[in-house]
Amino acid sequence: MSEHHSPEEIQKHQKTFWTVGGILFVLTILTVAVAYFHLPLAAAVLVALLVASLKGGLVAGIFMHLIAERKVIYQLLILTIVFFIVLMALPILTEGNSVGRNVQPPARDMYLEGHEGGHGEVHGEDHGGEEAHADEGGSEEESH
Amino acid sequence: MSSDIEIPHVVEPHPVTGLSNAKLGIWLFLSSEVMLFGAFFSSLILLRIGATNWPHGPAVLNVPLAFFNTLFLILSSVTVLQAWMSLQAGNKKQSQTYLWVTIGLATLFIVLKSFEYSTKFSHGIYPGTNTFYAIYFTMTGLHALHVIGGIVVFAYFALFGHKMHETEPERYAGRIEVSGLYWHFVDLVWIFLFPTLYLL
Repeated sequence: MSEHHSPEEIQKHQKTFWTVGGILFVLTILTVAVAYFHLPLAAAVLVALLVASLKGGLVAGIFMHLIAERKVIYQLLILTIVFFIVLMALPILTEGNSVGRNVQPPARDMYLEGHEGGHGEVHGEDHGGEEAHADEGGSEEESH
Repeated sequence: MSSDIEIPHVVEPHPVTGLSNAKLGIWLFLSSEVMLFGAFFSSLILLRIGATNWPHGPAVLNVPLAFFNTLFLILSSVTVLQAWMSLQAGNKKQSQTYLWVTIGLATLFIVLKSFEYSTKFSHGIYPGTNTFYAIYFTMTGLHALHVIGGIVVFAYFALFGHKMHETEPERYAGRIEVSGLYWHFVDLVWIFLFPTLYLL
């Protein structure tokens, strides 16, 4: 979109950008409103991510003019998306224990050396317990 | 630029890529940024699914502040586009105005963010408080640094960089366009940060 535009085209683009900005405003209000419906977690995550993806799509497609770009940028972004998917898949693989199980036993043995047994046994999994009481400390804070 | 060495393809497209080097450069940078923020989002998912207890965003974070910050960023994305479009229309004065509005909105974002952080600190909440706040401060802090980076770039153009428009108007418009692309990315990251941290 770095080529020259006629004044009519420029006006049209300017109008489009304001309209898309308005749609993003409305979608933001929708996201916040849905959060106060107290949907079940899975449904809340689904709705929040769907709306965020729609908003993200508008920003990337219209604002960053990806709807009509050069081939090189698409190729670059496809490569980025592939690696991004791998990044996002890591937690799923870890949760499925296909990553964690392979690396944990030797790491745990090393950690336990010189210690009495049991303390570091689930070194990679016990952080949830630590935060459980710490979270409660913050939950009543800040209502304004 | 007073340099004698001419940088090739700053305005006209490179024959191989079909893009100016500036635009290819910003997209390469944004790709690396996707991976940077992607790593943090991945960490957030990992921490959350591994935690036995995770707070509901609205119960512990200030949603109204974050909501207004979202609106400021969206609006600033539109104004930076208008700054670029005004240059295409040959109206530099209007472009400068939009640039200053963008800087103003970005500064408002940082002001609200500092209110948010200072309230947390005054309640004794720090990144070390628990895993949730560790990832909250890390991700919002990294994002805020990007916003500050954007403010610095736009302020440079608004104060000094705009002089390039007198000698090389197309190159200057290209600079506004690529810095705008960076700014939309910062907006895009916030669009995902806001619901995942504050609303879920």
